[in-house]
Amino acid sequence: MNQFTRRGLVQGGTALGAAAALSGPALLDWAKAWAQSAPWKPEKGAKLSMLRWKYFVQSEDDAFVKLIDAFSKATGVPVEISRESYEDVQPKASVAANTGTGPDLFWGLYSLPHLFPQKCVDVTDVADYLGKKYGGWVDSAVKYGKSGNKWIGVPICYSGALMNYRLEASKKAGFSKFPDKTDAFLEYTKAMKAQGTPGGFALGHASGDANTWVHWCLWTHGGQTVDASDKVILNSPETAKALEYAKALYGNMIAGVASWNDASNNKAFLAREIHWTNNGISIYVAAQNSAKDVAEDMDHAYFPIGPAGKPTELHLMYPTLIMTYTKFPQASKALVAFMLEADNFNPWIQSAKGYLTHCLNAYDKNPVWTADPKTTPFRDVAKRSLTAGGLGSVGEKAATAIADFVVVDMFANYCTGREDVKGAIAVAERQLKRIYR
Amino acid sequence: MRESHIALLRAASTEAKLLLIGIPVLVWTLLPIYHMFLFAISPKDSAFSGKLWPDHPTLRNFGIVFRQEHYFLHHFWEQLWNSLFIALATGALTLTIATGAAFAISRLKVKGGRTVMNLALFTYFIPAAFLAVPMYRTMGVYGLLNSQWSLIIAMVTIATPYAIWVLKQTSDNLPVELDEAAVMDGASPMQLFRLVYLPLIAPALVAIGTYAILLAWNEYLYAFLLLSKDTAITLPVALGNFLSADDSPWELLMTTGFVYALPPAAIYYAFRRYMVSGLTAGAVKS
Repeated sequence: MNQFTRRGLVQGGTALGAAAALSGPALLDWAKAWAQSAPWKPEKGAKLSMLRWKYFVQSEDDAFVKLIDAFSKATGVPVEISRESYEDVQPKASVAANTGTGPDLFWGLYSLPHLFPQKCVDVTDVADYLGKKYGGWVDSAVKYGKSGNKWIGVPICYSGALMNYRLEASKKAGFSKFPDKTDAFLEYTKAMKAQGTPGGFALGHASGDANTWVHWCLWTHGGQTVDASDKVILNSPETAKALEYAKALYGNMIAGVASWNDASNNKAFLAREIHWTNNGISIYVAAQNSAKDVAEDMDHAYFPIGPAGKPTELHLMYPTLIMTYTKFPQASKALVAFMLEADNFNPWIQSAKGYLTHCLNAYDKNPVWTADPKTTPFRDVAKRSLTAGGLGSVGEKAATAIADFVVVDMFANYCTGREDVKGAIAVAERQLKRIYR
Repeated sequence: MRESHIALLRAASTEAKLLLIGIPVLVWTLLPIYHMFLFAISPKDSAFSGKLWPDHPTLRNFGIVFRQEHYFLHHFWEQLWNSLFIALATGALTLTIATGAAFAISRLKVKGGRTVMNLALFTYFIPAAFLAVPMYRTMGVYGLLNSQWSLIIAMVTIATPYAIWVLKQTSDNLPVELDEAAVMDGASPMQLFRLVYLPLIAPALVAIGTYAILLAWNEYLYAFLLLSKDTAITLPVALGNFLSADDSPWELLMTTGFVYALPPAAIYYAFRRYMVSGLTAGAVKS
């Protein structure tokens, strides 16, 4: 009955262009062939547990469960999957790392492996294997995955945060194309407000939306929180320029953005109250289900480029790591490699509908990025993303600065008039110095 | 005549002062619950309208929750059952341990009983949150992570010292002559416990049982740390997952929260008489 040879199946697995989803017996046959030829042989009696972030879309989790199931059947290694809200993975991983007990693998946010690099299994062999096979890793993924010369985590994917805007209103305001420079963007926001179709960026404690746009604004004006040696260098003329620019933007935004959380701009955009904002693809996906007119009349674009002269975006990275206390490092490595093999990863990322973007260059060819041109900009977010901390390291300190909304509060303090430029910078600088001491 | 007038004025003034304090406290307490209810009966697109009453109130959100129609709610009934099972098991185990301990210390006067009670109370010097990580480690070592028993054991550990203390104080207030009479009639310690002691401390048992059940029902930190699987977590932890996306369904979050808040309110209402009398019994020695 089996029409596939082992070699043929494994070779077929590398065929990326069509990204045809294997399913049922074909997927299992391929998985079995992969398990036989893979460099990592699971330990006898191995069983794994993995804690991952809670999915955004059901279809993504369904595809994930399917590939995990295929892995278990092919290798005989049962895998127990638990899910947490993405911000809750880190505290659990920290407790597990420090107590030496808990799930074998964690799949979390940003620089998770860098919080406890000594507790992470060296996965250089897995990263090298995947990098060689799939066109290499994007730069930011290497920075997130490596500590010194070794890989301590495997970057699975990004979740992109880009500009979302309404087409008709933009055209009416005189912008047939979304502005790609910061000066033009400021003019755009002014024109959009003048015609009664304003937009807005979150200035409240919105972990995703607020952090992504303020870091873009800071970096694109040449400002930085820290230098390459993690010395705080926030207090600079560039930071002041970024703040002035943000204040000008703020004047053109809809009222109330200072209290926005991550859900506020989604709600306002879908309610047709705002006509531009920054967000992942969730607004578009929700609009396709509940506000088709909005979905048809919207598109995505990259953040405009400012004086820095290059993209300065911050997107959400999702790396996975294996804890050193695991009794089954080989099985864990096999699982991570299996997840990112083309026959698994392609259908899986397709099922994520653009929420997730790959970190391996070869997956640019996945049809999800071309089937609907409105998702195409999300294809390149991994290539364009800078890492948390900007010039600095991607460790706990950078993660803390983001989690504590230091840069967000600096922008909010100045834009809302609570502090002047010097005062806003001074407050943020003091907080950063405490974090980076 | 004049004196009675003054007394009347004084009483009115005291009542007015109480009302001045009571009304803001009532509003302060009810406002979040009202908001939760408002979200629960609002359609998705008007959940954030800011109106005091929705234009088109609906029970649709309750239908979605009960039929588990949103992917955050696929395990709603299972998670509600987990909460219920853990709360009831915590209540039952806490009562069993605390009643036995209080009886032994207070009535049987076992040697070292007082030390045991003081040691149990000493655990309250360390905030429960500080014990969360050691508890996680312990449960990990015993392979209990992701098992409901890990949370039950943790909750019983937290609830028992206070339960022993309250029950011991209550027991101390019972006339010792009752025990002596029963012993004279030939009652064994177990009979003394079952036929004399338990009926007499019933109000305190209701109060302590309710306390332990509500403690486990409302627990978040330990539940979050010790349980991870969708099918093992309690509903409060599942509610936290609603915030994992930037298009969180707030109306469903609030509906689920509202449903979850009803059983404790009903329990407290049903046993409110015992709650006050039971928890304060023995607070002042007679």
